[in-house]
Amino acid sequence: MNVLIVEDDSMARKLLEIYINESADYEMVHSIESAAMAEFYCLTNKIDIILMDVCTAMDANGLEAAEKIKKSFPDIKIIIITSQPECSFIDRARAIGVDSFWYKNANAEEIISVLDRTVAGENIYPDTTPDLKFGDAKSSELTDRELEVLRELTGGEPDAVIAEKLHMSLRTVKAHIQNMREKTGFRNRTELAVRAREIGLVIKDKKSE
Amino acid sequence: MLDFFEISSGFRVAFLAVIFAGVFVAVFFLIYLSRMEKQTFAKISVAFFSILDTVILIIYSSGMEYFFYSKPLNEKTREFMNIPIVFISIPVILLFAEIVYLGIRELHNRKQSITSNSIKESFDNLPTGLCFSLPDGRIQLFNHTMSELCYTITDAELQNADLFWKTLANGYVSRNVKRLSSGDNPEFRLPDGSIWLFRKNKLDDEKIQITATDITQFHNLTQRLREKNIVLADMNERLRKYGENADELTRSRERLETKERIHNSLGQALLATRHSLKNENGDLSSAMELWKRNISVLKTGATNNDEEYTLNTLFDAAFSAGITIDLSGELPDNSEIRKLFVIAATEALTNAVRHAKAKTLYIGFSHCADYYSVRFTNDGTPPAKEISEGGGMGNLRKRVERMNGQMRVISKPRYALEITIDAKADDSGC
Repeated sequence: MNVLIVEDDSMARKLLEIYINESADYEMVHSIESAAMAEFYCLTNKIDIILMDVCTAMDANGLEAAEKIKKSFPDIKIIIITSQPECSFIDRARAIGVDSFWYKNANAEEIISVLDRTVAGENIYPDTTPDLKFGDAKSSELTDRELEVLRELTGGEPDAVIAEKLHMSLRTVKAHIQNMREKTGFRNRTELAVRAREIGLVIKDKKSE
Repeated sequence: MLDFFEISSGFRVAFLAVIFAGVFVAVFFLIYLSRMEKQTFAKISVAFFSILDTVILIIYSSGMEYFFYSKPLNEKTREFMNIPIVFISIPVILLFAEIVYLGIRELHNRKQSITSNSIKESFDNLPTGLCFSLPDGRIQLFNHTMSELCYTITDAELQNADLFWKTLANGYVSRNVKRLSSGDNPEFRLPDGSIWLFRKNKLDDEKIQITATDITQFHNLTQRLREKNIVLADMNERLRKYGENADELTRSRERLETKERIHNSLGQALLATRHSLKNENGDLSSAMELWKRNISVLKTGATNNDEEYTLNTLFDAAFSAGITIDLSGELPDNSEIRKLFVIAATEALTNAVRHAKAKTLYIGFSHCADYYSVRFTNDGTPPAKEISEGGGMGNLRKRVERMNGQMRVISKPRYALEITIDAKADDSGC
């Protein structure tokens, strides 16, 4: 099985290359830094399976690339691997039709196992996203809508712009921010955004900024 | 009980004087009440007691001749004067009581009712300046506040509203007054620090109204809000920049986690090596493999992300697929524009292969004092119809427009993609 690795971090990429090269069933065809080139390699090579990170070089989003590839090459299996606990990634991956989703800190056996099971037709997804400590609260205590507001907040958007983007009233945005502050105990919106970004709870796609 | 005959002569005179005074006051009070539309009960009751008291006064006055001149009394008069003085005093007391009550009530009403004087007084003391005039500027009415404002701002009395407004809009104002805005809604800061907004309205064809409103508090709050917004915008910008740095933080954390895994694996390699060395027949090959793997990962170092991804990456990719990239010109020095052009080149290369089955991608960079531009074409099949921008091209256009650049997609006679960016684009991220 021909594997394409898409990972911007050179050490993590090297490790994945080793895992694949040491495996008898898989052959690494290419190993690249940016998801922007993934489609090109699919067009010019026989690729059976892609191991792809979400946030890759040149601000290319692995999920976006996966969506395009799945449309043109539905037979190519795609496994998204990430170190980010961003909760929306899993939902989006499922919606796109990504075959499997796993976390990057897995060891060689786990990665190869996910590859094997995916090739066998299984869809491997984690049961839940990691429940992170976010101030005085757990990340699971935040509602989906609050997380959406938080995601925009990390992009440095004023409340009015967030309201427009998320099609909600300014008062609702402020209420969500206030609720999150009460849950977490953070003093202000900046602290809320900085901490959320630091722990990778929400990641704003740079293209949407 | 005492009657009129049994009281002293002094009391008799005093009693009649009191009745006379009561009737006198009641008559004037009735005249005053008659001007009012309501107060019917008051009018009737005062009139009733006045008549009653007048009758008492007449009867008793005629009876006084008996005491002064010993004239015989009429039998009816004597009978009347035999009524105890207490009973006779009741209507007198009631008349006085009613007059006092009505007097107090009237004074109270006067304090609360609006008179023309009170209207003028309150108009003058309004916190808002008001001036009503005819269309030619002749003043009809203005209040004290407007008069004061006019004098403070123009150093002259308010005589013509039209001239006053022209001065407010664009004319000369006192040296101590600062004009904050002119035109239709002029604003001034007065020497006492207060800020006034003037407005002119046409009430009808004959009346012009000029108003002056103290907006000191509003102005100061707006100013504070503006300052807060500047601080907030600055914080948001810093937050956005922080987000960019946070990406690097995330990568560092990922690298650290990878290294931790390698170090754990090195521990395993160490144990495997020791075990093999202790055992004379031990096989060192698996331990060596483990060492090699871990050391090769650690040697990889921490190169990553955008700096690793350059046009050379694109050349390698194209070369591996048998595609030639024909390059002319040089990439811009500005890192953000350079990054944008490499992203555009990636999109152009993918599209050249996907849609045109091209074998050569032509990339032309050009640069002048004002702008950087790049043009992509290929030797593939020309588009059969107008190109509609999909996700990739759409995202690229958003990026270009965010940097205040222009993007043009040409479908005929051959495919071309042109991007132009202002050379002054900020290197730190536009």
